[in-house]
Amino acid sequence: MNEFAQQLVNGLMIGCLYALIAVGYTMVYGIIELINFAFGELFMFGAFITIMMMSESISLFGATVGMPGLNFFVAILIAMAVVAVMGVVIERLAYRPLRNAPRLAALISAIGVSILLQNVAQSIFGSQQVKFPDIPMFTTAAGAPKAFTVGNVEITYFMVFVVVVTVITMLLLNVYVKRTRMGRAMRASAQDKNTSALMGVNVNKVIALTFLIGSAMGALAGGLYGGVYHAAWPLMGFNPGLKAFIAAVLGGIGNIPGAFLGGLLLGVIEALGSAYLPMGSQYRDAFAFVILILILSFRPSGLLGSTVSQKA
Amino acid sequence: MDKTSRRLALALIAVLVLTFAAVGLAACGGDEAADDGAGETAAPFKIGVAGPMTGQYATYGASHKAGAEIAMEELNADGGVNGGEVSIALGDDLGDPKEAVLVAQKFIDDTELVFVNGHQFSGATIAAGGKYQAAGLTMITPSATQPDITDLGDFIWRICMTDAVQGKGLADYSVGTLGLQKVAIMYDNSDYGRGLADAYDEGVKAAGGSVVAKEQYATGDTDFKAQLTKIKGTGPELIFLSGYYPEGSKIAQQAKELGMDVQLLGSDGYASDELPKLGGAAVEGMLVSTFFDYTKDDPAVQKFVDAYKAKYEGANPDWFVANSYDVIMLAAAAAEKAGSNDRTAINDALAEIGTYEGISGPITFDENGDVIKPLSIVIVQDGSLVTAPQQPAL
Repeated sequence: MNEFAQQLVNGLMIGCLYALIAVGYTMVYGIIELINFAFGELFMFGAFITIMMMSESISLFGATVGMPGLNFFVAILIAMAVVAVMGVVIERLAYRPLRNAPRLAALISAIGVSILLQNVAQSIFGSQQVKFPDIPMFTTAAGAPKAFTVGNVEITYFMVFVVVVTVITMLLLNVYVKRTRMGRAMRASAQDKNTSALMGVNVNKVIALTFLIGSAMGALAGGLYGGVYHAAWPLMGFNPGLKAFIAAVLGGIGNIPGAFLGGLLLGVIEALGSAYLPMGSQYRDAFAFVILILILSFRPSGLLGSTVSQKA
Repeated sequence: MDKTSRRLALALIAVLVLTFAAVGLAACGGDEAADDGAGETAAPFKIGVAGPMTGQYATYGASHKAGAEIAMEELNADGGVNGGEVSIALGDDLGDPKEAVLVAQKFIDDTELVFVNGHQFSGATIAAGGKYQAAGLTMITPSATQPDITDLGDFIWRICMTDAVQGKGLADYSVGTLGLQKVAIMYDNSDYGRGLADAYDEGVKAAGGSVVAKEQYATGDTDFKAQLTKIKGTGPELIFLSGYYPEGSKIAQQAKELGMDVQLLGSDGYASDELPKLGGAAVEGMLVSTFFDYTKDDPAVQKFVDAYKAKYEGANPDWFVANSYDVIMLAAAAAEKAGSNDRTAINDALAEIGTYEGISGPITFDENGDVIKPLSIVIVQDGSLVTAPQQPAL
């Protein structure tokens, strides 16, 4: 029983990280119906920039460069700001010119941006994994993680922090999209860009803002993921990016509470599947794809998604 | 699908094909050192150096290339091999058997190339090895440990211990030397990780210990808590980790996060300065099997370590660098012995080389082309790998 509880906690933890990335995916998809494949790379840059800001010095292009050595919380906020700007620039340069082109063109552009960013990261940070600095608040003087036990279940303080951050972020975003003027403009643009423009909504601005927020979420997830797994590396975004995409589809793409639910479910299914299915750990990545196929076959609109209206 | 989207789909395929082709060409064309300069009479000594130079395993390829370059520079400074200039052709196999076969064909077709230093990963080595054997081109692998490799034929050699020998040695070390009877195994489900884990499993049982859990993971995984939680429930005294350090450092960290305080023993894939760098406090006290002790008091070893440090900002070479260096020095010694830079002559001379004193230890080949070499254990202490107080009984 204790072992099961521990596995459940393990799964919820991964699920929170998937949920955070899935929100970025889902917001962008919701508004321009583009699967932003570069999202995993923004996530990766979020982790690297957090590490950079926290370190005293870091190797860039093979040369050691002095760094500010900031506190984790400040570092991750800076990473979110930088990556948010990156997201907007990517939208401006790689997606906006293709907005009225067939959807496949934008998709190819997204794949191109993803490959480009991976290679840029490899040349800047090198191909090796880079250690994520210990966060003093969550680490004992001996370098061990601070943790407490409930029954026999081990929970680190950092896990609690990640869960709290995820839940608060989800709530805030949901309120923002549902209750504010800008949020209403986002929902309107998602439904019909032309009509929204006629009603006086500056669609370009709304889309840029969506990329800004979505990318910042990606960077936040990247920084937390780096902290959870104590490292960053140039290809780290690929797998979580795919998982988050699946989580978004599972919850109903375009739907923020759906992305949260989808992420949590996916994390738990993965953890329990690899723990209790025979040879499960070998197939942990396969669970996500099996779920994707099942969802697309039986409930393409996702768990919380409304019926997809066939536009165009 | 309408016409436009079909055309776009074709364009996508074309873009992807071109991307891969460009990556492949860049990797192939990389470092073909120029042959100009040295005397035109002596046959050149061109070496194929094959490993994952790009992609997720590029760190191993980088070590491999570094060792080869130090050997090349040292040989050229001494006037080459049989008077011929030493040069390197890099082959990027991405650690992937499919790519390895393409690299092998390229090396075989290059008539100036005298032997192959590689490949690094077992899967890639098996795939490429068959081609080298058929073409009569010597391949010496510095690091592929899967047992069957040298059964491919007489042109296939290896200078690292097989998984079977290492697994048995580490089992005897755990149960006999350390006196820990109750062990768990966590392995990377690759040819290497699985082969070694199986040998260790059998060895522990033969030595009178018991294996209470045996869990696997896939290379590149980042979360190991599902497996570790199961292992924790069985209460082992030691966990043997069969795989590579990027996953291993995370396994150690997550074990600590799950409140596990248990002795860890890593396979040779953990023997890198990157392990304490990535693992931090979580890997302190971890024991690691290694093929190269860079602190060894031996002028040849120290000369090599100094050359490496000068090139790579004071970093210590891992055993992948050392073995890659040894492979080239060994082949050069064989060519000098044969007095010829001819593919077949080099292979014949290797069979009669006796014991070669490499920096990774004395290298002696058995009739199968496998090496007979001692195993050593290091321990992570204050962020570096140092000789462990308890060494395996010989």
